[in-house]
Amino acid sequence: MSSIITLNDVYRGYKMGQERIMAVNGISLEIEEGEICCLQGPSGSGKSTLLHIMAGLDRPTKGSIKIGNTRIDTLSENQLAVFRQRYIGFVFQSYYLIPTLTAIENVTIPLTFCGVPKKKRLQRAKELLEAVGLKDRMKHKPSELSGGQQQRVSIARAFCNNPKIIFADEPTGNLDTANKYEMMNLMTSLAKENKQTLVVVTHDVEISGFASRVIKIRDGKIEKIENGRDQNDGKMA
Amino acid sequence: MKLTDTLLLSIKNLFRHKLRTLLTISGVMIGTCAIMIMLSLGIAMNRNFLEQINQMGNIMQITVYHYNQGGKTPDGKDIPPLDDDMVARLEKMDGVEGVAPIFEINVKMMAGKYVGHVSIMGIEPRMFDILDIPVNGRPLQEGDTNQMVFGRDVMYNFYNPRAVRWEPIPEDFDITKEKLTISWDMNYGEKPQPGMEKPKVQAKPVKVEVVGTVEQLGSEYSWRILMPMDTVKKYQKEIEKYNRQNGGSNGGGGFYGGVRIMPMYASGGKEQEGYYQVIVKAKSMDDVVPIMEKIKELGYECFSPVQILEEMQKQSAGLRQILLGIGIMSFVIAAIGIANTMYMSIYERTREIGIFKVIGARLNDIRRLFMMEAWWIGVFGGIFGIFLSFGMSYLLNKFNVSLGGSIIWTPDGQKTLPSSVIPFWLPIAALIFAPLASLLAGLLPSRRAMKLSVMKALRQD
Repeated sequence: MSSIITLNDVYRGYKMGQERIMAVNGISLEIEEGEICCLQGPSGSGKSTLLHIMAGLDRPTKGSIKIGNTRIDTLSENQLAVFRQRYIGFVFQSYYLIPTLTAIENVTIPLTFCGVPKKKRLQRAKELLEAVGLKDRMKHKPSELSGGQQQRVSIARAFCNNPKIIFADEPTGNLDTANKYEMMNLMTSLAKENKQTLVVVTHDVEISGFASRVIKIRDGKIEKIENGRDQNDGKMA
Repeated sequence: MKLTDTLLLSIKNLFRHKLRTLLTISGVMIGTCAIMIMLSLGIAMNRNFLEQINQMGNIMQITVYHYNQGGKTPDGKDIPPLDDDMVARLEKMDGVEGVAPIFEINVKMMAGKYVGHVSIMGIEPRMFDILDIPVNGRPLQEGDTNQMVFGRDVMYNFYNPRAVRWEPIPEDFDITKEKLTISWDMNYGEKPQPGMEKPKVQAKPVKVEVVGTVEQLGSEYSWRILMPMDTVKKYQKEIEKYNRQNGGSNGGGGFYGGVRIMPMYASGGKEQEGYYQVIVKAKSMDDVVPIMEKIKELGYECFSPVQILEEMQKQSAGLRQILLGIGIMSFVIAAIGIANTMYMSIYERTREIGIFKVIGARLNDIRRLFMMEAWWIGVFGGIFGIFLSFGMSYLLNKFNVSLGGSIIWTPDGQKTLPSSVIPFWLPIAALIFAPLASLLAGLLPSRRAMKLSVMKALRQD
């Protein structure tokens, strides 16, 4: 297996008043294609910052990030946007759906930005919403959906342009336990189906059960890398 | 992102805040309307000037004078006589449609029991068309001799010479149905009075016939009698002969603008053969001024209503600019309203912009999305503004709120000039201008949306 994400000695510093804080403090890491990887750590450990840097949402103070063969830390903002369109999908803790658009419209947005024709967009969105079990909720606005349903929509949105990598930032943070497992099962099975790489940031130890590799982060550094409990089918009873 | 998708998404976004959008649109609507109405007032003003001037005389006619005062042409030569050769030369100038020499004789005319002093103007029959003389009946034709076209107002010169007190001709008297004669003798038809000298040689009255009339009130031809040029020249010779035979001082008919021009002042030029006055008709309004300049180079003086028109337009230009300024000002206020609305909505939608960026919107997509919102405001505001303008214009005209416009008289009676005129190009221009100006107003807010940092946008709640 070849590595799809390569971090080489990455630093990210912030200024907090007079103090300078290193949120990411020299991390080198390789994530392999098709891997389901979990970045785990307490809040403030720098795991979210690391995710943002890997996804090209934030830039490192020092160090390089390669996705595939592309150095994304040197890309312009527009190039990054196109890069994200093609290769990356996102799932967020608070779903980040557009409140005025229906579920199906929300799912089609990334395809809209890619310039995919409307018919194709809607068809693809329908497929995905069916896959996440929201067949009869397509015309509903986010406010008419439960938290779990909203997160399903956001998962459908992340997968809809068939990205190589899906980044999930605390995807289960706002969900109850039943929904949490369901959501993780959904994401991992979708990712495995299409041989996509899934990077999940969480502080929840239970989530790590879904991962093939768990990277524990503390104070901006890698504390420990563990192989996940479930390497074979990514499912938990 | 495709343009159609951008357009649809932006219009969807606009209608998330219906009231706010509606208020901004009505701002643009009022701004568009203000500009259109102000322009329409100015346009109406200029048109009305033109119509008023046209009423005074044909705008494309130039009257050329030659007083033979012994002046010089601008390059220092003697002024050539304004004779038939010169008329032919003027006729060949660029933009000239025709030239009519003015040649008038004064005679005494008798119609039934009424008489009057009238002047008869000689004219080439083909000039009726060129000078747009509005004739009822028929104009003069080639081959006419004693035929005349009779201006309606000429009848006010007639009176009953036998009456003890002044008795003008009755209003409903149809002079053209009477047997008409003219004479060079200015006492023709008068009651002989003591002390009145009798001419040595009697002038034989000449029979004339009316073939057409000029009924239009206020027209320069309603005060004139028109006869063929050759006939009038022949009459002039007879008048000269009659005056010579009678010693020239006993009330013989006169003429002016005649073939022989005496110097106006003793110190002036030599005696010349030619006309005092000719009328030059230009092919179009734009030709008038260049023709006048050329005529002035020849040393003649000339006049055209275009000069008055230009003067009036020059004087009203300031007013029109102020009007337009007011219009533009209200649009600027509308544009500020657009910018304000845009900044508001960007502020509210910061998070959304962040999400769009995360899931693959390029910088241009974001900017276009917001620019299109401004554009839509401009489009709707423009369209509503055009409708509002037509309504306002209708009301202005209905209640005759007037700026330099007024009432004029036409053959059909009184006519009220419009105070607001919207030419066909004005709504088209507004439909282009309003969205463009709105785009301009949306430029800075859209840039700001584009430049929002993703991380900051996402962190905002």
